[in-house]
Amino acid sequence: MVKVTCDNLTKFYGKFKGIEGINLEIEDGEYIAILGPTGAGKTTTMYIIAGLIQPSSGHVKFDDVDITNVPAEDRNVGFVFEEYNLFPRMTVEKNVLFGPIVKKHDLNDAAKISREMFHLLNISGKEEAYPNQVSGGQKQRVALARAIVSGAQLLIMDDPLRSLDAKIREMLQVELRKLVKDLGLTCIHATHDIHEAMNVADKIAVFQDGKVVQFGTPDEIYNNPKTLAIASFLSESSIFEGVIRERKNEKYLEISELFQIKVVTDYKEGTEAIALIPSELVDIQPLEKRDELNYDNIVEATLLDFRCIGEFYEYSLDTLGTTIKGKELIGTTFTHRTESKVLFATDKDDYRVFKKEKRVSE
Amino acid sequence: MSEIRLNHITKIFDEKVTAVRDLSCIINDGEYISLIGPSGCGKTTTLRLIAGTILPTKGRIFFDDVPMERVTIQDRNIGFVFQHFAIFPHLNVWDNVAFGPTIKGKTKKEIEEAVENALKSVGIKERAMVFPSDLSAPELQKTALARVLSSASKILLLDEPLGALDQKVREDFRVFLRSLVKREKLTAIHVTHDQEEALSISDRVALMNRAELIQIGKPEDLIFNPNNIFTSFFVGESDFIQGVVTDDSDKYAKVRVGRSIIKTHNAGIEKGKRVIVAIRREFFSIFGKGQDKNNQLEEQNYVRGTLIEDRFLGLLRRVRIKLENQQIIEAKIHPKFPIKYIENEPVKVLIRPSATRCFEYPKEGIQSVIRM
Repeated sequence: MVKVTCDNLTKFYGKFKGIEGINLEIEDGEYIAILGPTGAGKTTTMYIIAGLIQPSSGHVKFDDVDITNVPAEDRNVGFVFEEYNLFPRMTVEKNVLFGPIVKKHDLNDAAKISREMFHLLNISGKEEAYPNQVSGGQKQRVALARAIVSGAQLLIMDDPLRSLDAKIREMLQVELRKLVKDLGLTCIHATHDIHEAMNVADKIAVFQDGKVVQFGTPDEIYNNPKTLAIASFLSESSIFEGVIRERKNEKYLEISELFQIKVVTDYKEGTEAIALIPSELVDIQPLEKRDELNYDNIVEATLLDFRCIGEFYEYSLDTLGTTIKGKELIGTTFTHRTESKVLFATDKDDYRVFKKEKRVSE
Repeated sequence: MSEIRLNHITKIFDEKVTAVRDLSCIINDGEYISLIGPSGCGKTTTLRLIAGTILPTKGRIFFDDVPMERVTIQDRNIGFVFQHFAIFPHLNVWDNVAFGPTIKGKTKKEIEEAVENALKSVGIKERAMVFPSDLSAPELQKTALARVLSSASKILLLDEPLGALDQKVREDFRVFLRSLVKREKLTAIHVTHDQEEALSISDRVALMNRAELIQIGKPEDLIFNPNNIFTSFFVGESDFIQGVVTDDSDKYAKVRVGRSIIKTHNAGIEKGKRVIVAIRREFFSIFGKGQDKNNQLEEQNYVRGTLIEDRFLGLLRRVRIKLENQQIIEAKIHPKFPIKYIENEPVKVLIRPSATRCFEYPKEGIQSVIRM
């Protein structure tokens, strides 16, 4: 259990900037996801926290003690990589007990914890197998057991589930979070997968171009993204461009003379703006329901197509020449027909509104 | 015409590893089929068997009733598209696409016509003189597709074709790929590990596990009418509740789960037998304290439990519940569902009988059936 502070971390690789001015405060026992595309600086940040590389400037603190110059082996950090990094010539159990053996810890205690971990991670019975005799999911569980049995209080995981099948990935996400919480560890988990980050973490740090662009709970970052780039990275959305109009204390985005949507924004009348609506917050209803609906925006639309893609129906609508994408959980009945007229319904506070930057229009 | 028929195909490598076991199916002319399943389930081997890069140990493959065992890969009239493009780096787009008709000995005019049409069809005609190193990933994949078209192949085999594309681009590419296949009247077989991709792009989806074909059907069939426990487990997310049939005489069967009796899909399983009731997580409705004031649920189908967690995941919320029999289930609900559930709150979980599937309890336990 440890509180981790990144204080203005910057790292240059020669002339190339890896990360710049990273500030993060990770509370004791907190599960943090570092989310961003390839090259955003996720791995660099984690390597610096683990002590595998040194920052060009800035400090890392564990429980408010500066450990920037403490070598990796003395930081008590468990590291799990995408590629497992198991010793191929050692049995699974020897891999797990490697840390305690090297550190000359009491092996009876370590073996007891190791047995518990095997049970907890559902790999009991594999102790005598070699890494090449177990599946990818099991290898990653072994790597995780090794990190925990070594007595680490801070777990750092670099895209640990990336090379696994989607099904196993989903199952391990839930298991991972439960395990980390049960053991009370502090955990930093880098991923490029938004759903994975939302699934595992208490808080998410969104990385772009070597910087933390937003840090907050899944709810905060998803529902209140700070920039258009973050908003479009986090959700699958339909995008509207227009001008903000104000009438009777309500704000509208005027897309064309005929098409306006009520939105919530601080931008003033005449501001050129972009509004995003995530697909799952679009509702589709039959025409005859118009009078019963309680939405801020109800517009007639044509259903272009729909398909069942597993947990959702995915559909697209046409409203006055604009295509809108929608998603509906399959637990609800979807009775609309392609080419039929329907109602496209949304609430004003579900739109994420941003001032149109010049760069976007070019 | 390009109908593909697989007749009891088995492929054993090195006389010991069975990669495909007794697989039979018909892929209709012009159909778009996806093969899904866990790593190592045999989907890529099946694709290679159809292509002719390997031969089956047992069984036969027919294209339009013509047996394929003596037909070489070059003569099967097949186009291949891989995750990593396999484009000649030293040739520009035009020459890459002209390669097929050229080695087939077509005339200059025929080649020009074929390349022109192919580039137009995939929408990269204006990029004809560009070299691969200057193309984006989607453009490279379009070049690979144009090459298939210019060779006049009628069967398109795709091995993780969208694997190298970014998530956002991938979604657009799915729509493009499906419409291309339909417009060009190709028969397409698409291997992917991404279920959503398979379900959104295909006419039918074939699910494999441990070398066997488990179920083949329309996307909706796999989701709403899984005919076995593995499909229920693998496609989407379901919970499995164990119980015993107490009445099998009605439209819906009655199954005892802990202290409750619930109505489920009637699969013709006899009274007294142990069953697994599979329910998709999107189909649970949860009623917390005070939400069932008039006990309107009493007459309905519910099980009792205690709430563990109500977690916001962006697209949806995941609610975890421990049932009276100590089993943990998960419900997926709309992110804006107006009620926020509280930890340790007693809840009733409403189960729609029509949304359940009932399977006989496997003799060797459920793990034996869902093992991947």
